[in-house]
Parts: sequence; C-alpha cells; structure tokens
Amino acid sequence: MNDRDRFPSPDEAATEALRRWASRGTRRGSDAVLAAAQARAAELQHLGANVHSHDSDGFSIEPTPHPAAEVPATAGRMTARRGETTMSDSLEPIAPDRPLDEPVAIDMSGRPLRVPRRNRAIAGVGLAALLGVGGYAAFASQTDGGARSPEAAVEQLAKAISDEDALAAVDVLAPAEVASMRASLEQAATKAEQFDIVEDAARPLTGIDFDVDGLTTEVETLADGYAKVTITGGVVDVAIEPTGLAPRVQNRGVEPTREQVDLAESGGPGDLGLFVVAVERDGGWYVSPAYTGMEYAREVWNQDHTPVPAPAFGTADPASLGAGTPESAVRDALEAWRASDWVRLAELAPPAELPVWEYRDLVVAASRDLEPNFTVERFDVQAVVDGSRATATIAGNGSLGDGGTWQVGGECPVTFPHASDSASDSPGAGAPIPAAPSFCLAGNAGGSLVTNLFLFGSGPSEGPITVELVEHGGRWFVSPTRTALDALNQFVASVDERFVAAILEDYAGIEPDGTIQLGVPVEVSTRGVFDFEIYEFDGRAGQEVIGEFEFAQSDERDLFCCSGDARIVRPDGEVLGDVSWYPFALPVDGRYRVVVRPGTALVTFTLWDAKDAPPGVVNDFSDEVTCDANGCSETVESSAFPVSDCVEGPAGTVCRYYDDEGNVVEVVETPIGDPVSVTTAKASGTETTASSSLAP
Amino acid sequence: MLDGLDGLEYRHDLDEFRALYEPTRRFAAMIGGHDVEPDDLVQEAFARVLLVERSRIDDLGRYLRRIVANLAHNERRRLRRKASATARLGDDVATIDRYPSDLSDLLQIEPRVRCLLYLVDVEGEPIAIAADTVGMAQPSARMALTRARRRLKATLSEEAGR
Repeated sequence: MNDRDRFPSPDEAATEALRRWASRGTRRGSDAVLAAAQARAAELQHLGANVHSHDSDGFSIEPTPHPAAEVPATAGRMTARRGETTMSDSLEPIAPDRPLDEPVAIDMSGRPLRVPRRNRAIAGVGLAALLGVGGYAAFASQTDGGARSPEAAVEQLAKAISDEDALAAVDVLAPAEVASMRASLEQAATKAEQFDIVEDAARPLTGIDFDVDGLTTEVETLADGYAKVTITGGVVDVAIEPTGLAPRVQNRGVEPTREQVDLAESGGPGDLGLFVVAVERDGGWYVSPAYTGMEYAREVWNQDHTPVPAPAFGTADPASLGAGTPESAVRDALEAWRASDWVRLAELAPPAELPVWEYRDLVVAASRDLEPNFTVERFDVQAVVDGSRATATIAGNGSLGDGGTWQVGGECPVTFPHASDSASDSPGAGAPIPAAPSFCLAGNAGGSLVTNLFLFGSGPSEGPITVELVEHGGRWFVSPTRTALDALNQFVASVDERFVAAILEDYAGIEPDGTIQLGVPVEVSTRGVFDFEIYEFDGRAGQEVIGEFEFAQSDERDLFCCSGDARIVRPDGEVLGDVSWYPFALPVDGRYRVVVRPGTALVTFTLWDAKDAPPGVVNDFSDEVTCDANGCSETVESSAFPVSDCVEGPAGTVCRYYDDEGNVVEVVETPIGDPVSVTTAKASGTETTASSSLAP
Repeated sequence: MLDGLDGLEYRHDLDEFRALYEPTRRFAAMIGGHDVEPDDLVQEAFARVLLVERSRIDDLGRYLRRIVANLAHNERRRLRRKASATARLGDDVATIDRYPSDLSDLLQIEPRVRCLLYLVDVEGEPIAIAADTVGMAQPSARMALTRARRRLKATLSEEAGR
C-alpha cells in the first residue's frame, strides 16, 4: 500500500500534529506584521517605556545574553489597536482548525504531567487481557467447532462474546489461524495466574461484560466454501465492573465503564461496512481473521486505485508453492524481498495461515512503489527441524541504498528515532558515538516488542534472530504468525514480578534494595526502561524532597538516557508522588520508599531535602508548582518578583506586584474593549499613571 | 532600512525580518498560549528588536525566539493571575476550547516543552540550543522531551486504537 493507504504511526502523528500546531492562527503575512511592528516600536519609543528590561509583571523580556538598549525604567502595559499593538492586550481567541463536536477541556496550567491512576488501571486491564484472555483461548483451541452456515458462525461468535465465553468464540475461528496461538496463550495464562493479574485463568473476562443485541447480517457467497458476512445491524454493549476484576487490577483505580457501539454505524476500515469472511473447513463454517483482513485490504485499495479483482479462493496448492528446505525458504524470502519479487515472497507464506498467494495481485499492486534497496554481504541460516515445524536461526549484514547498513543478529545498540545530525555538540558527550546500523534486529525480540509497545524506539539487544517455518505438502513455508508469536513468547517469558510492579505501579510485594540518606548519592546498578530500584528513608510531615539524577552519557540521540524518574511510595506500595521535577511534600512523619527508575543511563541518584538541594536541582518551574499527596498546585509568585493578591475593585481586577527596580506596579485588568489603567508607584514615591483602551 | 524612529539609529535590514517571519511565527505558535495569535507575538517581538541596536545582536533569529518565549511566558502569567482572580470572585465560567484531539494532546504539554518538541523533533535543532531558546536547563529539557514524546505517543496510540 502507498503512504496514504496506511494509518500514520504515533511518531508521524505527533510530528504532523506539531506541524499543524505550528501553522495555527490567522496569518497576516510578514509585511503586515512588520509594518505593525514598526508602528508599535514608534509607539513604545514615544511612550518611553522600558520595553527591554521587564514587562509589566517583572518578567524579563530581554534575552539575557544580549544587552538591551538603555531606555528609562518604568513599567506598564501598553495598548493599541489590534494589528498595531502589544500582544498583552490584543489577544483574541483563535478559531480552531477543525472544531469537534465534543468540547475538550484544555489544561494550560503548565503543571507537571503525571500518570493518572486511570492509566495505570488501563495498563493493568491490558496486561490482564494479554496474559489472561489468551489463556482462555488456548484451552478453547483444543476443541472442535464450526457452525452450520456462514451467518451461523457470526451469530455464534456474537453469542460467545455476549456470554463472555472465549472458548466458544475461538471455536468459530478458522482452526489453522488459531491453532498456532496455542502455546503462546498457554504460557500467558500461566503467567496471569502467577502474578494475580486474573483471579481465574479459566474466566479471565470476569468483570468485563459484553452484550451483543439485535445482530442482523447479509451473506454473499464469494466462492464455494467462502462467504462474506456483512453486519447490517446490532448493538454491542461493553461494561467494566471493577469489583469483578482481580484485586490487584481493581486496586489500580479502575472505574466502572460502559460503552455502546452501534454495529450498523461503526463500519470498518476505509468507511466500509462491517463484515467478516467465513470459510468452510471439514464441513463446518468458521470466521477467518486472515481472509477478513485481506478482503478489507483489497476493498480499501480498490476505493482509489485500479480495482484488483477478488482472488480465486481456495486455489493455493501447497505442493506447488514454498521451498524444498527450511533454509532455502528463508533465503528465498530474503532474495525475493531484495529483488522486489512479491509473487515469490507470497509463495513462501503458508496458504492456510496467511492467504497472500491467493491475494498476490493485490500484494503486487500495493507493493509496486516499494523498492527495497539493499545488498547482502553475509547471510547465514541454520534450521532445526521438528516434524512439520522448523526454527531457523539467521544472522547477516549488508548495506542500504541510502548509505547506511543493516544487521541481523549480533549486538544492536540503542536506536535513536529522534536522532539529530550531530551528537558531538552535546556537552559531556565525550568520544564520538560509533555509527550504528541504520537497521538492526537482534535477539530478545520480545523485549523489543515490549519497548515498542510502550515507548518510542527500541533499546539495546543482542543475540540471534529466529524465524519459524511450517511444512505443508512436503514444502516449507515461512510462518509470519508463528514467528510473531515466538516474539510474544519471549515477552511473556520475560515478564516477572518486577515488570508487573513497574507496569501497575504496585510495589507492595517488592523488597527494598537498601536505604537512602537525604543528600547522599546512591549508585544505581540497574539499567532498563522497566527496571527500578527501591530505597527506604525516614521523612517528616511537610518536608519537601526532590531527586537529582546523574546520567552516564549525554548523547541526545539516546532516547532513554535521561528518562529516569523517581516516585515516593508508602510502605504499603501506594505511589504518593513524583520527585523527578518538583519538590514533593511528605504528608506525615514516617518511613517512606523512593522508587528510582533509571532509564538506560542513570548512574547515581540523590534524594535531597529541597531546601538543601544544590542550585539547578529544583526545576525551573518549581517556583510556580508544588506537589503533595493531593496533586500539584500552581502559584504565580516567585522569589524574584513577588506578586501580591489580586483584588477585585470597582474598575476591574487590580493586581499589584513589583518590578526589579522595586517599583510597585498596579494593573487594573479589565475585559477587552474597556479602559486599562497602569499605575506605577516608584520606589522614590513619585507616581505615574497611564490609561488607554482597546478596540473591541 | 528602517527609518522614522526619532533619535534612534538602530537601523535594521527589514528583509532580515521578512526572512525570519515564518520560522519565528512557527515558534510563536508553538510556545504561545492557545488563545494567543502567533502573529501578535511576532509583531511584538519585532517591535522590541527594532528598538535594539542591530550590532548588539549576534543571531537575530535566536534573539527573536527568546523574546517571543519571554513574551509568551509573561502572557501566561498574566492570564493565570486573571483566572485566579476570577476564581476568587466565584465566577465558575470555565474555559473550554475545541480542538482536534491530536492538537488538544499537544495543548496538554507544557508550552515550553511543546516548543522543545517542535524545535528538536521537527526542526532538528540540537537540544542544547533548543533548551537555551526556550529558557530551560539542558538536563530538564532532556527529561522533558523524553516524557513528552512518551506521553504524546501513548495518547496518540490510544486514539489510533479507538
């Protein structure tokens, strides 16, 4: 598919959002802005205001590295008409680019971004789903199923969902596509029980209520044994009842939730109607996720391209496809990819698992613009055959057309998806960072999966990469599903109590790694996005503490180098607050824990009493934001420019504050269009008053 | 050349300002409040700079950005004070704005950090320079960037999944 046929990745979406935000507002053009600026400059000069030193509230306008013009020091807000005026008084709400029907509350407070408990709850539910639902399905996959007709298969699926009966649901999915999940899901079920993510692996959906009502369908025969079932009506009701969830997930602040989806209106990808493809196997009808996905891809493609006809369903003959050995299947796949031989690549996918060969016309059409440009310098494949399955270990390297290199196996460094051209300008960077392969894939694919699921980019990895193969009709095929599930297996295998604690922020069951004294750095030995260390300390009620982080490297390309953070946790595991940026006020006298999450490069961590912290530890914003167990609050007072309370007077809101000359400045803030008065009471006792108005 | 400012000889080449209008405007859009017109910030920054002797400014683009950043910060403080005063008066009128969801995601990021994101991730500026431009310490900027990216990705992923 070309670029417009796919959904943007979160990275692309973020960049696109930034670009759109950067172009917001009403554009007057450089000449108009410049002309208004000249008039404004003349006005400023005429008024004799100190526009270079401080604005009305004493905040420095002038960039510190550059000296300002020497002009008289007074303070005050200047006013004029829109297009000729100071920004302070000429502000009108911008028209949003594309207003939504639903209002969005905007938090402009600038307070720190904290992970809400709801998000942790969602993470918990997600983890439960990943580890638990699968287990249920695993047992289900052992049973025989199938419905008597295509629509019956869909109705059976809907009923199974309504009954929260995953066993019945899996029973109507195409066996060849579901069977390969079995081992992965069994492992997941075991993990879910082990870590109390679900109370009963056989009933993982307890607490989540699905209800499908009024389902209506239309059936279109695609070929003998293949049917497209379009959902023409029905409502899905999904409710989460926290009391039914496992206590460990429930305690993460899950709130009752209810959502209703009208199936007739919801539609599928590309604004197509909602449909599934059902296939007949051994006399029973099953819902086929693979054929459904391919058919959606074809219909979406056909919306704005030369239409690709429907495939010849069920014509793939394994005996005439695939490769003679597992090794040659892997080598052929790489060579087909390099040579843009999409038909050959499609021949190497198992027909019963992924019907890309039958959809090869679509694959070729959608891949027409793809021109893989790489060379292979070395490519080693070693396969171990076990009956009709094989595992191939691959390693290799080569060059990319853009001058970069690729590598599979061996050792991959941290990748830098936001790399700038140069890292050498980072103070403290030290020796130049060695050039990393542009594309590198090495061992622990499960670990990479986790990193990519939850964060940007990927962390370091090493070891061989394995590819799973299956044999049908005496021929060998590369199995994408089994290979992906192998990565999932690695992830599930790597899940341990500490990982679960990090995801759920539930540290109750973790023994502290030691104690920490305020002001005394501790060496942090762990590394990793989901690693952490816990230290205990004694604190007093009202005492403000803040963390200081020292990182091993200062390479701005390392996305995780500076992502370490620290949370204050009660002994029972409840997270009270974050001390990464702002001082946190301890609520009571007692024993606390600080959970330090190191990212990839934290070397030492110091917990300071905020009043003893060295300069620079307390964040720039901390004069405006304070945090305690109830959250963060914000004040506009700063030590440099104390601000008194604003008082509502007959003429408007009167705010008094001081400029850096010690002058008391009074500003009456009134709605746009009303007169604004600025009074400056000089330290010497003299007083000046200015008053002007804005055009409505 | 700029003429007409009595008694000032801080002559500027206006083409320099015209060339810097677009990048300065983008910067103003990023760092300004949601209800602040970028052009208003640019205009005020231009006006301030026009009163400064050109020879005293090394890098006009960065200088303008710093002024814009400071103006935007000032404006936020003023609005917060006003909001605070309004709250004390018992006025429960809330400010509710409507934006496409991805833009409202950006709005939830502290403006200076949002601006950092733009400078580093879109314009490709080194963090050291970007941090200085928005008036943040480098370590704070690095941490802020990492978290903002993480948060933005998580939010956008959530939305993509809906």
